[in-house]
Amino acid sequence: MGAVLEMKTTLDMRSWVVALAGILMLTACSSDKTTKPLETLSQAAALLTGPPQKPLDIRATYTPDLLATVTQPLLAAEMPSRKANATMVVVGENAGHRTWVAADGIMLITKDGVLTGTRGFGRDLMVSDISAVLPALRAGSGSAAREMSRIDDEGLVTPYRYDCVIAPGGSQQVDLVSRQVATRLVTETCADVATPDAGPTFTNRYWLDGAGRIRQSDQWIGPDYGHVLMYQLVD
Amino acid sequence: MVAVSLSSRVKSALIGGVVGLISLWAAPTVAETTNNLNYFGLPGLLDMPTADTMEDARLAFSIAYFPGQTRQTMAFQITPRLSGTFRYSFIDRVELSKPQRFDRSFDIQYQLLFEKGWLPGVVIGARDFIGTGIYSGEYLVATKSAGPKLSFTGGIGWGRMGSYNSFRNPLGVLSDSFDDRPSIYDPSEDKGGTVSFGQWLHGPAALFAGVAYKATDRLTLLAEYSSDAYVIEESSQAFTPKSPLNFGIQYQVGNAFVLGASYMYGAEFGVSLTVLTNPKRAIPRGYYSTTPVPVKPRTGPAAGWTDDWVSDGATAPATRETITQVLALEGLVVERIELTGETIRVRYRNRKYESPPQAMGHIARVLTVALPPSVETFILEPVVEGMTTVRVTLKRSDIEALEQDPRGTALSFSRAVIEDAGFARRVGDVPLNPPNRLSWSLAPYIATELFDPDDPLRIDYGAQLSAQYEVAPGLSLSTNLRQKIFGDRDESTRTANSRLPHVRTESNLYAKATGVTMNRLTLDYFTRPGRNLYARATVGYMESMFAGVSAELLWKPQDSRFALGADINRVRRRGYEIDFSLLDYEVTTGHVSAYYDYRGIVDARVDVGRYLAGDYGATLSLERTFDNGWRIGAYATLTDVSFEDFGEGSFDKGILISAPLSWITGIPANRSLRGDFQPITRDGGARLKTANRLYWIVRGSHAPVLEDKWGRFWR
Repeated sequence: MGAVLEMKTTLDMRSWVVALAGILMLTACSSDKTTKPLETLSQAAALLTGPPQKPLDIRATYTPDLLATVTQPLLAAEMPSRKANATMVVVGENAGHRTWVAADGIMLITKDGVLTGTRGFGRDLMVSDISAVLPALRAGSGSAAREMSRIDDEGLVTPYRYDCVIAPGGSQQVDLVSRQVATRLVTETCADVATPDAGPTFTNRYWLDGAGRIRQSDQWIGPDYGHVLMYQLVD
Repeated sequence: MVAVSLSSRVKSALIGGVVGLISLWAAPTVAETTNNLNYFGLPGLLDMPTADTMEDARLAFSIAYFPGQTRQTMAFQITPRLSGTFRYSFIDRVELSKPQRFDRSFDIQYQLLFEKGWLPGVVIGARDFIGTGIYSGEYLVATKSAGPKLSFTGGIGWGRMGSYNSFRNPLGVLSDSFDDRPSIYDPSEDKGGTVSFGQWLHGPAALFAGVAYKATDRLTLLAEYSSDAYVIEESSQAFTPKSPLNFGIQYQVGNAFVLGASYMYGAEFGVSLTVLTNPKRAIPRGYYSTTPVPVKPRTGPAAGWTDDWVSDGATAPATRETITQVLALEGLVVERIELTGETIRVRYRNRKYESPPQAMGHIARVLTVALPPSVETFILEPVVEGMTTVRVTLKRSDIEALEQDPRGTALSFSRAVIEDAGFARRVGDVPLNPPNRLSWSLAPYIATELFDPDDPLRIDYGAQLSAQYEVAPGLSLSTNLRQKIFGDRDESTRTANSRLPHVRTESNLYAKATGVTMNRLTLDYFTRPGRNLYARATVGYMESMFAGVSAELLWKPQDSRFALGADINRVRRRGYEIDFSLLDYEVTTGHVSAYYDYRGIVDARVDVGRYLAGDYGATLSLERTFDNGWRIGAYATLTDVSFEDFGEGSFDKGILISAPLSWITGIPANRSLRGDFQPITRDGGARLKTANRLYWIVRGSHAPVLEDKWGRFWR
């Protein structure tokens, strides 16, 4: 395997609070291996110092030669809202849902390239019902209902329903490092069913190749984390 | 006997309060909530309240200062309609003997109406209803907004809030008794603490009014006409208001802070700071990664899923070993695994996840990866303090089918079979991997002595060593040793003046202990004596001030939100050096307790029995509980000790807050930070502080709480 980057986040106010809390409360040692104060401290310290701000295009860290050595599916993901990126591999597959994991354990779950879940974020997207979205994407246009269930800090899982309009966006070349792929762009514009007058809540973009597979996408996770950009580097 | 009649009224009011709190839960859909708190820490303008509401479960800490007055308030929106505060104020020159008065007070207020359409919001409240009464006053206030930016407030106040331009109490038409307000605050006396029902809505009344203008989302301009004449402060020449008008601005920074500045009573400038939190929202936006191993579905035809592997003698031990190792990486300690061709039974300890279903979900997924396909039934039995409390049986095919099912959370719960694990300690298999018997931690500690009338905050800092050695299943030896490094708790020169045995009021003498103190050294035994029954026996030095023997029994059916318990303790006071020495005072103390967990939202508890000073009485505790482990509550104890004999505060009461560590740090940890705030610690109504009370050990793994917390099963 080539270089697998950890998902990095930059400093914000909350990080300070977390870091300080970590330093204040976990300057302790114990026989209990489940809490690792030193690791916690180093995480806290890493949050405080923060990585230098780099351009976010994770594709820049790869070369075609490097990718040629990779024999398993590889996904590059970027989260602009957190200035974070990760390279992810498949760690599980169930009923067509692929679970992708980054080196630090963060997970994204996709079905046929459409995001259905996250793990390790906090207010995770637990599960999605995209059964109507997939056929509309392949058709290139239409409308579909989708449901996204998110967990809150109390541990309550709430389903949020959206009405979505799928529309074609024209042909585009996509740069997947080891190759340029001819794709057609399809957009999915969704409005929250609970607030129909508020206008669209989010827009997802998918770049599909000639066989109808999603090669690149820009999809909304939820209000706390915004969008994730995914590049299918190796199938 | 004034005290007796008053205390029976207090009792009936407390009981009424429980019923009221629960029946009035019906949460309306609150349209607008406010982050603008007044100088008393509740929604309002400057000194005056408004009929605005904080969001449900808001926990707000505020400090407001203008010369002569420093008020530090913790406010909690207990239910969508009910809110309460605990306040600690420094008030200059209102007492003859001291330059500053350190004053504790409680407020409570209730939203009668939420603003809707043409109807204004209406709130009724009582300020300082349980303290010495220096701030005591009641109010009925209405607020009506005119557009999104402007809101007008008008109200009528009594007591302190009925002191400027006051008029005859309109309630006087009902009864002449409303015309006079028996004064409770007496600067020469230091008693207080009685609930002041007798003066509620009594005496002259006055009108107040105000206006708030939300210039931007963050900036609010405030103006008010105050009905508080600051009579006490003016008579002691501490503060002289020159005008009833106050003006202020408030600016919200981020989601958590509100800064304020004001010009008060035409005389002084003031400032305020509010810190906004909510147990429903963790401080970190993301938790660090402890992500689950995904489900690995079985493949191929089910006919091929044979249990031939059982007889080969190697697969089963290797599988058990793998599962133990992988779960150890997850932070879960496997005690025992029974494995047959179709079924696996895992007994484990969860020290990592606050939510028991989260541990179960992680184990179930690991099992789908580790087990041969013929194993279809997963039986999970968490072990707490050596006791199995619950058995959750899951079908592997359900785990496979529901991982990515949009209804997976609800379906996985409804298909799980949850039952009592049974009290028989059947040992089905040899312990595969005896867990480490010794656990220990070395950590800093902070010990506080709050609200000392001479110095409001005394703190010791030091290091503590906690260790537990498991002698046998359910039987363990625990200790807690502390070494103070620096601090000023030993500087208190207060001498206990209590008329009761000094069971708690000599805490400052214990704070003078030098060297290493042995705050705990106990041998504890936990067992299940019968169906639905749990028992604990403790012998040793259970807390810094008492040692002896203790026994507790709890009856709690697995699927019940109701529980009954009893504890009996024979204890002696410990020597001031907190070593092995004992003092002469010996007492038998114990309680019968009833617990009720209302929908996972309110946990109510009544203890009736004998307290440390030998007094008989009852304690009522009410806690709001959150599915993420937060608990915020209050308690009050009334015993046969008269208010006069009890001394300052009149009866024992306090607030407790328990925050899960994971809420603060984002890192999974089955630990909480607890704070127990007693406005004044006296000897009446004092309870033994035994660690490991059965109810909170058992409650978390029973079906009602599992259901409340099941949302984390797939997390």
